[in-house]
Amino acid sequence: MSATSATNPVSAESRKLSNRLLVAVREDVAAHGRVLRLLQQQEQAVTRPSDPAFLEATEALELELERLPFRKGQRDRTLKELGRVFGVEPSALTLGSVAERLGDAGAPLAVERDRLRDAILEVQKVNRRVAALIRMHRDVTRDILNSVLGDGTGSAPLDGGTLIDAEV
Amino acid sequence: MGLSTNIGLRALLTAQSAMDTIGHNVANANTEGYSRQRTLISNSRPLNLRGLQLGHGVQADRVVRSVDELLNSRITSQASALGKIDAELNEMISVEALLNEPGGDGFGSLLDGLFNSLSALSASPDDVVNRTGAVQSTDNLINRFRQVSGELAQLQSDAQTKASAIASSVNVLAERIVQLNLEITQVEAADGTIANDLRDRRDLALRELGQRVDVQVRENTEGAVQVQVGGQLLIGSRSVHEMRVETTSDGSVVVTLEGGVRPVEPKGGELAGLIAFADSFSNGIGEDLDTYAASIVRELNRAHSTGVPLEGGFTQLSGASTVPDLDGDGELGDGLLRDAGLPFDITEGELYLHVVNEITGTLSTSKIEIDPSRMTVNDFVDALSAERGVTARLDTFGRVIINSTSGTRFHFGRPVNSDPDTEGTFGGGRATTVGSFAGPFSIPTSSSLQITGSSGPFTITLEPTDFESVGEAQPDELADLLNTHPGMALNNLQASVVGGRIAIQTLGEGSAESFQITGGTGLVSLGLLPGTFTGRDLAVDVNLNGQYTGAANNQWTFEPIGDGIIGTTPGLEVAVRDAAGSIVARLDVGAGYAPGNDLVIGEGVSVSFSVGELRQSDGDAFSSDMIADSDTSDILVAFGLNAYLVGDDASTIDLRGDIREDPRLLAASATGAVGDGGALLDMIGVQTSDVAELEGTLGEFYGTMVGSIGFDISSASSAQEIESFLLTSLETQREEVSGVNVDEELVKMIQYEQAYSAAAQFLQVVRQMSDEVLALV
Repeated sequence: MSATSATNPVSAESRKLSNRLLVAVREDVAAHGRVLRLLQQQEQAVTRPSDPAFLEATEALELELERLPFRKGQRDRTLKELGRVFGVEPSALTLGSVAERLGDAGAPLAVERDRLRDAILEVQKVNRRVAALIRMHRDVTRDILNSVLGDGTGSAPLDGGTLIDAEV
Repeated sequence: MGLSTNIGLRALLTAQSAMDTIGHNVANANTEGYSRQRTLISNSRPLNLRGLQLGHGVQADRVVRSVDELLNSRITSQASALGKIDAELNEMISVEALLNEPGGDGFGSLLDGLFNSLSALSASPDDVVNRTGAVQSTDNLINRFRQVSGELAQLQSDAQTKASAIASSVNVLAERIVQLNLEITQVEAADGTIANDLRDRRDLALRELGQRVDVQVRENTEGAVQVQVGGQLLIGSRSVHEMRVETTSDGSVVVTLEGGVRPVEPKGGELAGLIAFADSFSNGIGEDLDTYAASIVRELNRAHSTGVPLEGGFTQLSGASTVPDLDGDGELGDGLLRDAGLPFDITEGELYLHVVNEITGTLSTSKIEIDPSRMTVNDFVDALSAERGVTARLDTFGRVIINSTSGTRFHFGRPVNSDPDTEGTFGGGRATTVGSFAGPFSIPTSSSLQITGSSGPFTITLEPTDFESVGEAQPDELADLLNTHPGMALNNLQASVVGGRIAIQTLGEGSAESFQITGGTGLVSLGLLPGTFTGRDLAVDVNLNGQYTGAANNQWTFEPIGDGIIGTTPGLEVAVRDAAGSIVARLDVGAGYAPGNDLVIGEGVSVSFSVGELRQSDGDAFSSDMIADSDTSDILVAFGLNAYLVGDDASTIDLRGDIREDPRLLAASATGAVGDGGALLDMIGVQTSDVAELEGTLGEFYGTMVGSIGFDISSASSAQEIESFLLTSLETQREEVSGVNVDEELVKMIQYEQAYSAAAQFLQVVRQMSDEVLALV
């Protein structure tokens, strides 16, 4: 398959679009790397919610997530044009199929695709762990508040969505 | 899967610990002495599994107190300072309330009442109703002294009892601290945790201990504290050295610790405050009150003891003070007056004793020189007995008892003798010669005096050794010696003393009486002149009137200037000289004088003479004592003779019992004359006179005393305010460090919950993002 691909002619336009896709993938790899570091920071600080590091990591993560729509838009436009060039429904394209269609010219994209997959898997692994930890801490904190703020009837003010006034 | 479960479980347990700590904090938010606790959390050590460092979640290391040991130490110290002032101030306020000044039943008002009643009495000194009023006013003052003295003693005793109670509570706290020491060291040694709650309880106990007594606290490496009081060990690591409080015989409070080599002197805490009150403040007030009472006794008695009661004198007088047998030899009265153990001091001075013949009214005055550093009590008693008309003795209790002889009364007043020339040495009917100067007389060896009387001549020979002071004859001593010579009695002659001069007279009166002094080697030394002395058919009668107002005691001697007949001889004068020989007055009794008329001498005294012949050539003279203070030595006050008040401090002050029973015994008169209130005026004068021992008047001393109490209380109140403020500030600081703020704890928890929720939402987005991108891969 790769031999066949290597013989396929690559148009100038498809080369141009594939380069654009390669840049987008590299940006995603870098973004996942940053997200991974932020998750690790949160994991370190999760037991110390008053520690500024926890809040800073959360805020940095929020900033990182704000860039998602822009990258997704860029990626979607490139895949749409590639779909047109390849004569394929854009939603059916993957990085792997694009790299294969490009033949030898798609080798850099294939490498970046592997790096991206590894980065995503690592982010997902850490994300699951940190999410579990945070949920547990949030639940425990809620239990404490419910027990302290409860009126003794077993009601849980926080679970019921009660607005907490700390001065009450 | 197993690892994840462990991590989750550990996180939950950690969070549970944190929740327990927060719950503990909230539950003890109002517990006195509780210190906020917090759970220290850290990452668990990672596991090395399959070559990978795997995170192992979170763990709770330990729960620690939020505490500032230095601050706690300062609070304990401050509690001591405040405890001392609180305790002392409470007692001081009780004393102020006790004195109730200014108030109707305060000393100031009652003393005014006494002087007012004496003043009312002075208007009519013989009025028995007014005398009863004076007695009642005196009783009111005395009762107040006794009440305040008793209650002050009770306050002092109560403070001592409270001090004992505090020592007991100190011991209880010490036992509790030792028990906590044991528990803390056991807990902390067993698993290395910090016994937070036990330490809080021990800190609280230490603070309560500090409130009672100032302590120095040191913690050893095992976590036990050792506590010292005044440098001595009260609490060891495992033992208590029991505190004891005892009151010594002199009323001071002594604090000791079991096994201690010396008493402890607390400087702070309630114990120190009570001791300061009992030993210093109340003692000081008590001493001031005693000084005040003693001064009233002394000053009123000074005036009253020389006064004369309504009857005009005493037939018997008993001293209120007793002479103790200080040397323990079984004999009372052998000690010197200055060391006799009497309640008031005796100074060098003189005491005038007057004996009144109840039938003739004749007044006989004698003066006893008092030298407390030479005279014993017995000497004084003997000196009284030596005077004609009285006998004196010490009874078995050591009181001086003076009795008059039959038909006489005696007193210690200051009358002007209306009949000063009872011996007739001033123009009297008896043949008389008076020496030209006063003794003592220097007596050379074998001094002779040659006299010829009605029975013939005789010679008296004097030797220097005849006299107590060899070679120096006192006038009375010389007169007595002359009178013992047989020639004197055989010739109806008598020697006497006139103003310190020696006088020789016949016993009979009239122009038929005479004697001669013919010579002798002793004439010059006695101031006598040779000559023939003849009696007179018309004797001069002298009468002194008035009340001597001079500032000091004196003796006036009257002698004619020239020879002549009173009211007839032109230029005939009588000179009045004081004891120093200075002229006090020259009185014209010559041709222009109407015999019997008063001639003013001065100092409140006047004199009148009847018709008669005066002879300067015969040495005519008489003398009379002018008494401003008949007891300048205070010996009557010291022995309590004719006292108005008895006792010598606030607890023993009392009115003389027989005066209370019979107010006529109040010695209102200074002279014994009817209607005279001279002694009363002296007593009233006490109110405004400076008292040397008080460095001011009675009122000023009492005012200073009351003002001083007020000042002390005011100062202590200010100090209490400051110390209280400091303690409150320190407690506020402690609250900031160690206190539980429920709101703050909850706010923190809500913030945590919100942070976790936000993070969880973002992680959800991350998951969606990664899923979406992974779909492209």
